[in-house]
Amino acid sequence: MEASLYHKICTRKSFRVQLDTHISQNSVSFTTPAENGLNKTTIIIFDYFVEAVRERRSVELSSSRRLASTIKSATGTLRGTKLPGLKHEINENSGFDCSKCKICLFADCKIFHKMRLTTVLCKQHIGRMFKRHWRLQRKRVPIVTGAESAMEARGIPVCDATDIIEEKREFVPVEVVEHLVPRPVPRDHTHPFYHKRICHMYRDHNVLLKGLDQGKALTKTVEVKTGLPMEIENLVGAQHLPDQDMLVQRCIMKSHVFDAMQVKLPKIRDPQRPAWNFPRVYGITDKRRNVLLSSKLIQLCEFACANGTNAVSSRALVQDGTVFVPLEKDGDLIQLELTADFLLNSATPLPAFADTDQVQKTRDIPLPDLYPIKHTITLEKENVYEIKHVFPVLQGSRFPHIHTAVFHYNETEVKNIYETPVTEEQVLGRTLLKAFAVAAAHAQQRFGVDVKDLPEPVTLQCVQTDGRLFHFAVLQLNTLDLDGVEGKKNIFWMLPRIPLFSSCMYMKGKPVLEGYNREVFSRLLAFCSNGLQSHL
Amino acid sequence: MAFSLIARTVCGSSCVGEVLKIKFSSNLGIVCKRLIRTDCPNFRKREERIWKEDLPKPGNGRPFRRIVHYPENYTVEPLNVTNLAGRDPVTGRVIAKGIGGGIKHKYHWIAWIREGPKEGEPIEERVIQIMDDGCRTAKIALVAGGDQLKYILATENMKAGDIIRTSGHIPRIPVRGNEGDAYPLGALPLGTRVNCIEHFPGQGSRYVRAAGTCATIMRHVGDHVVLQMPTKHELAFSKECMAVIGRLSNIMHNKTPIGSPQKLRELGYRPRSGWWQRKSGRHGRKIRRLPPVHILEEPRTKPPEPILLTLGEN
Repeated sequence: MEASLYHKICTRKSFRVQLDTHISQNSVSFTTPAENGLNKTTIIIFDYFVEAVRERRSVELSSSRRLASTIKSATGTLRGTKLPGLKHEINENSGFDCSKCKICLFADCKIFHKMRLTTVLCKQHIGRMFKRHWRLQRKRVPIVTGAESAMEARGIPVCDATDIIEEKREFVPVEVVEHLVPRPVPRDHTHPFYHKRICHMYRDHNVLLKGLDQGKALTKTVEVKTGLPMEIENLVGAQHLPDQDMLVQRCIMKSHVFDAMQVKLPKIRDPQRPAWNFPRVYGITDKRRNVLLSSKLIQLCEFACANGTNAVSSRALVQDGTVFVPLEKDGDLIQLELTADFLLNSATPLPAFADTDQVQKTRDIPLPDLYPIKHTITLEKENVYEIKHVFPVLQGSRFPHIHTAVFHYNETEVKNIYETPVTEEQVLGRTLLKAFAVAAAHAQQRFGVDVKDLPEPVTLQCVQTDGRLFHFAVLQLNTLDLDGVEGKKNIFWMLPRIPLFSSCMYMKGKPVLEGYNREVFSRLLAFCSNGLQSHL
Repeated sequence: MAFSLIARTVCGSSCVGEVLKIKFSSNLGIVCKRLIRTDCPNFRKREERIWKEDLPKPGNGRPFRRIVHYPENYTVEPLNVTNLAGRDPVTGRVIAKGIGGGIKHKYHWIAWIREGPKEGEPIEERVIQIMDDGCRTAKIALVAGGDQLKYILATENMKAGDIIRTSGHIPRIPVRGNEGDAYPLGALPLGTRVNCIEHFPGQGSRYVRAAGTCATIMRHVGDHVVLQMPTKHELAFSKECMAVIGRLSNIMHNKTPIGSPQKLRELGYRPRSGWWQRKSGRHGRKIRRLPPVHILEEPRTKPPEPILLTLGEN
């Protein structure tokens, strides 16, 4: 057996070793005149010796390092005491007769001594067969005996064997070095702002599923008449700026065409030809375009109002004012987290557009019926939130009263969760929610956080624009008690969206503005000039 | 007892001349091998061979067109997908030929389970929008009820603003529902055309989901309802299996020619050979007698997973 192993080792490596073996009574020593030096195969031969001898006694194997620098040969010595079978004499010159050797240390010694190792083994290599067999048969499906259920029926607990066999490791907590950039806190129940109660969030990118109707149901608002209040309609055209239309057109061109911004605009897709790749368009982003247009138009309004009045000094303009309004409605917690892109504040509040009689009449006007949809649909449900009351103008300001707000509608940011285009109704609903958030935040600052029925109404004029279409609306906030459908309601007046122009772009290399509509600026001017000294 | 050996390895690479002190117990060869493997990059273990037996077979409902990255909770937000081009994601081998390329569509997660109250009034929901889905042939409907949004498959005449009802109640007298309503099969009269049929009660729709298809209720047999499927085969479902009334939308789907090879590529198929195969069944089946009614009894329990035995630690 051992000899065959020896054969295998030697033949496999195609290495023949000539061993001069000397066996004395107490020790066996051998020398390998290996030309290649002591290599791996030599080590294996060493190993073989060790294996063979180990079964009988403890022996020590050491390799001679006589020629350590050049390594031309190596000598191994097996030293033991009284090898039991070696009783016969050993003639070192002629070798020894292995048939007399009773121990099977070198079974089949003849071959060993002759050192005529041949490859004729007549053996079949079963390794591949075994591997294939193992590969196929190592997948075993356990037989379902039903023992588990039977044990459980008798009340004997069944547990996984691996749970018991597996070594139980106790993990030592390791202090983790703080990262240079602190990792974001996971938004789960370990978050410091985690609450069990769900909060319905409405942010700038949200839209309401049912648009204006849902907005009305959510904010308990009704429309008493179509169009804007008569007071504002009367102001349209009252103020006028010399060369007004030319100035407005210049503003439009400046913000839509002449601005130096050149960035990649969103990819264009044609639903009819989905595989078609349009050339990438560079230009002004919708966000910048809207900011430019609004700021320029508001500036023009201030110029126009400045004729004979101290309009500029009696107003304050807040840009990108953040508004946080937490509300309770029918047992739901709702927080509006919105931005008022431009908020014009005045020293005196706007007059109420609906008197108390009209406000009382709103009790009879029904809210839109959304059945079977709940008013909180498409608001984001979150557990990690912070309830905050935020209004961009501080309490002690000289201009504490909200007057006119301009909201931007950026197509790239405002999206339906299901990624279909935002509808007209949804855009109108967005105006209402934004106006309500600003008015409510102002009311909460002015009358206290827990105010329900406002002592006096809060009025806000607002405009939502996407750069071309303008949505003019007025909100009168009468109550913040949003529970139920009965009782006093808020009032909303609005116009349909009006285009400022039909197109404004480069056509054949020339900047062209087509279809300018002068009504838009005159309405904006009417909003801004409302409540000024000269008109009171 | 351990043996110690100081040896010098000469194995032709970065280990040349390195003196290793090895403590070994039985087989030095293995110890050497391991040392060499870790030290020398040339001996790094190669990836294991992929055997043919380990590759999955096409069919059995396993998709090789795309992986959908589902989030934890249901959402109507269109989901991102990874297109597989007919490959098995584990081994990377082509399993389904002829798939690849095309326009990448986001996946709309359909709410397959329509659960209604067992007693009392049915749940009502409103259809918000009918839209196209690039990942399936039928159109889909966005449906809102309460403060939940979900997608279902749109039926032939469904339109935005419709109210659809869902009930799990099986009354004594069959109900005559409207299109898009979901009822148990046992609650519907004979001859009703249904779609989105559950395989077993509570498991969610599985049968009849392709564009323009419908199954017809033929007869009631005990606790089972026999349906004629779009293949004209007859299947007997449990009477508690939910089904949606009506024929699915996009009825012109099977009549619309693809049009051009390029359109086929846009749909995500690779060019195919025009080889005419008379006998393979590819170009139509031999007309035979229909098989007898197949009764869908209890759902099959999943067979236990095979245990993979290993030799040693690996």
